[in-house]
Amino acid sequence: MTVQQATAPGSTGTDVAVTLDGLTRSYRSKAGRVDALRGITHAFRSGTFTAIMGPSGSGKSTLLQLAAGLDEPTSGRVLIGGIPLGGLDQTELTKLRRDTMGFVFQAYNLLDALTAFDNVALPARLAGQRVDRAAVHDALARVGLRELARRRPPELSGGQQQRVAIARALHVRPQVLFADEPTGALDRHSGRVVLDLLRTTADQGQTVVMVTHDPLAASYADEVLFLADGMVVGRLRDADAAQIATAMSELEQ
Amino acid sequence: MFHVSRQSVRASWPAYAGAFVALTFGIALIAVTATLIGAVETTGTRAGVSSAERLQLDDLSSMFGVMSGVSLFMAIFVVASTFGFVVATRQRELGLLRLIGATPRQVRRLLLGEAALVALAATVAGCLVGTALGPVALWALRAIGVTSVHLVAPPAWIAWVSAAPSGVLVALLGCRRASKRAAKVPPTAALREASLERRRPGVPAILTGALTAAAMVGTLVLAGQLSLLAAVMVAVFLPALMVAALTSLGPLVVPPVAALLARPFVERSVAARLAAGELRTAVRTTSSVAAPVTAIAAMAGSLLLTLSFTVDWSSGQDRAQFAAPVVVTDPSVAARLAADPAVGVVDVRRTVSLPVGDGDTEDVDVVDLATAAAARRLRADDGSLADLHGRTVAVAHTYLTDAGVHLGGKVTTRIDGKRVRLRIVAVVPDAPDLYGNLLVTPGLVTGAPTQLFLTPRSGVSDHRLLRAAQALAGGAAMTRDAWIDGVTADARRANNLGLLVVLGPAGLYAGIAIVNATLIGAAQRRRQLRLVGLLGATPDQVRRTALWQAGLTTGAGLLLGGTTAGYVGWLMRQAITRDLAGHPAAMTIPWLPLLGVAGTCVGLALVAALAAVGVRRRANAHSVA
Ligand SMILES: Nc1ncnc2c1ncn2[C@@H]1O[C@H](COP(=O)(O)OP(=O)(O)OP(=O)(O)O)[C@@H](O)[C@H]1O
Ligand SMILES: [Mg+2]
Repeated sequence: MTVQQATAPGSTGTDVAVTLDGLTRSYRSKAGRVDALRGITHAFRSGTFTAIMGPSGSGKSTLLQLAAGLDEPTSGRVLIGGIPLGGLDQTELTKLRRDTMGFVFQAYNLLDALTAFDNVALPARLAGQRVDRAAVHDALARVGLRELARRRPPELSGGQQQRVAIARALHVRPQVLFADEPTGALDRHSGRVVLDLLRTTADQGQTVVMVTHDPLAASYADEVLFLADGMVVGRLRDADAAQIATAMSELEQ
Repeated sequence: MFHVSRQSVRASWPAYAGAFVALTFGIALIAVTATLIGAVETTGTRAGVSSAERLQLDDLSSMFGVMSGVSLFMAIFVVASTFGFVVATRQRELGLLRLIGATPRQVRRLLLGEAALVALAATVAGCLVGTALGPVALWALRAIGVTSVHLVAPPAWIAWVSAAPSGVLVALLGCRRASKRAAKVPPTAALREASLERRRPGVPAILTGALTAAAMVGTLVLAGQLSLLAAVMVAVFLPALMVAALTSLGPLVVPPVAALLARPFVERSVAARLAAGELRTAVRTTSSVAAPVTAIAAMAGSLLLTLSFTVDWSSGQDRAQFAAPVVVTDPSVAARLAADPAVGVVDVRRTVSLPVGDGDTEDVDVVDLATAAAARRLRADDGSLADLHGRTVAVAHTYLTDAGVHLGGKVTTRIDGKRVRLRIVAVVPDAPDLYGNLLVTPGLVTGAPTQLFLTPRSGVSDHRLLRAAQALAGGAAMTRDAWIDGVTADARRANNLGLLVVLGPAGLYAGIAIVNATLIGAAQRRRQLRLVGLLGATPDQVRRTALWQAGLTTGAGLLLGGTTAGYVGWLMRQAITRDLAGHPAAMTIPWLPLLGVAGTCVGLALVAALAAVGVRRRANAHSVA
């Protein structure tokens, strides 16, 4: 399971998985204009694990949504594997997302109507692929939920639901995995399991982008990106939890 | 996607239970209607059915036609609003599907699949219920006196053949808009905590709204010139148009109206304040509860007012034409009355049923021109009554427009099995209860006497004439006014029965929709209301909030529907006053049925709201225990 595949065919360590090019995003509301992002340029390289940190309201979730093509930038471009998202229609975008991206969010990740197994298998079904039952069970086993495959989300704890969502994201082996505070609802142990999984995923050549408030979680990443007021205000490479915490508290002053 | 469809329906069946019930009743209604129309057809073609019964069956047939039209209309729009509701409350789930890779088309197919499942179940259930209710309905029609003909039910497959496709059609039409809207749910909907229920209306909604506004302005501008027939047409179509517009623009229109109603109470009651807040945020619930209320209030109100005013109009016409002060309803005493010294003219009303045009049967008056002129002021507005002899006919004004004929034209009929063409030689004023649409002279056919209209010999008072008539005919002799009052009361009773048949099913349906929307809405807001409870609201406050919400929403619906009905009534009134040209006409507003409709709507919504609170509290108690 821990075989290093960073140099798998066709993906060298310097390939760029996601490119953000001068991204801005403004929301117009009755209360006036909010500049959630004010010019972000960054390249997420393939096979890397990046954590995004910053105070509440700094634009982290907005950044994630733009990078995944869930929302359109006010100006600037997003490229996934060299393809600009701006030129795609809804169906093309969906297909690209289906083929290349996985998602884990802080809450409400699952369809209540489906069992854990069916939730994990759904993306493959949507893509019209045959469901590999063994692979689905394997994905559930990796997050420690082999026994709960037949339960529905309302019958699972918050942390268990979160792990089902991660199993789903891992099952399709997406090129890029986006996670918004995936460990927010988990206890220390489950949190570590999840972070280890994300780490392994990146080591196997997939790209992980994770928003978090927790310096310990961020320390699993190769690089930490600090956002404040919609701009990148700092970067740390291979930092430990203490260094990240110091950087955060400096930022919040 | 069908796999997911099936799972969704299984997992959240309460939301679909609403759609299922609505659809089942729609299909059952159509099946019952088909049974009734089939029964009229089967029974009518049987030997031994007299022409009077044939006439009655024809009337019944067209009444059932109207009934099924109204029910179908109600069914489509209630199912649409139920499915729309289901979609609106599943934004987050649909967004999640899109997020993990469902294309808009796949989401749409998911919804259509769910609709197909619900439609399938509802069609089976509806056909069975309809088949069971068919004979009951036939029996009820005789029991409440709508018809005296013994109706025989047609084979059951006739009802199924017409109800099943209608059910599928209604489900598809109902789900079409909802599934389109579902396909438009963005993936980011999965990430939003509470879906802010804000909807921009689509192009069709705006077009319907514009069309309705144009119709309102148009009729308002023309109000001074609208003929009676045109006014009746407006009364039938405007409410339907209005309902369609309010259904598609409901989320925009209803909440502000409800908020306006809430304003006086918000300062005084915290429950009212909470309810007003809910009305504004839960836009979907608000408009879904209000929509059926508006629909039934507008349609029932317009029909009630229109029919009542029509009776006012005919009694006004009768009075304007009536010269004879005394009426005798027993024609056998005609000869003896003629010999009485107090009596001047005995005008015998004679009628005969003749087939006219293509198959319709009409009551034709056979008139003695001299006595009719004296007692019923029979005169020609156009043409000349002097020409009325042999193969000629005089027609009443409204018949010209109704049948699309003109002075000098021909009316085709059959007399003694022979085809006869009658030339129209005169147009006479309307007097619906004094003579019918068509008048001929005794040379052509013989009619059966029905009433006698008496005028006094000169110098004899009306009172003495009445006494003389009563001496011979007893209770069958009465004053002109008493007779008109009786005829009018009969007409109103017949109208009310007819309305019951036409609107009964639609009303039942609207009731289901009101309860349905209230219950689904309450179920969706369970979490919010639990929060309100945590914040310190007592169970009583929660209950009163629910009641306020139901009351305000229904009130808004009634206000919108009532305004529509009121406007239609006003148009009718204008046309009637003009048509009577100066003759006074009573204005009878049927308050009792109108208030009955309004009260039933409010009552149903309140009971449903209370039931929802009760269920919720029991569920909470259960989960705590
Ligand atoms: N739909 C919206 N309309 C208006 N403003 C918005 C909207 N969504 C986000 N914002 C604003 O944009 C800014 C960035 O929001 P974002 O959700 O990206 O913050 P965040 O960094 O994820 O915060 P948190 O850590 O609290 O999740 C905030 O000021 C927020 O208020
Ligand atoms: Mg966020």
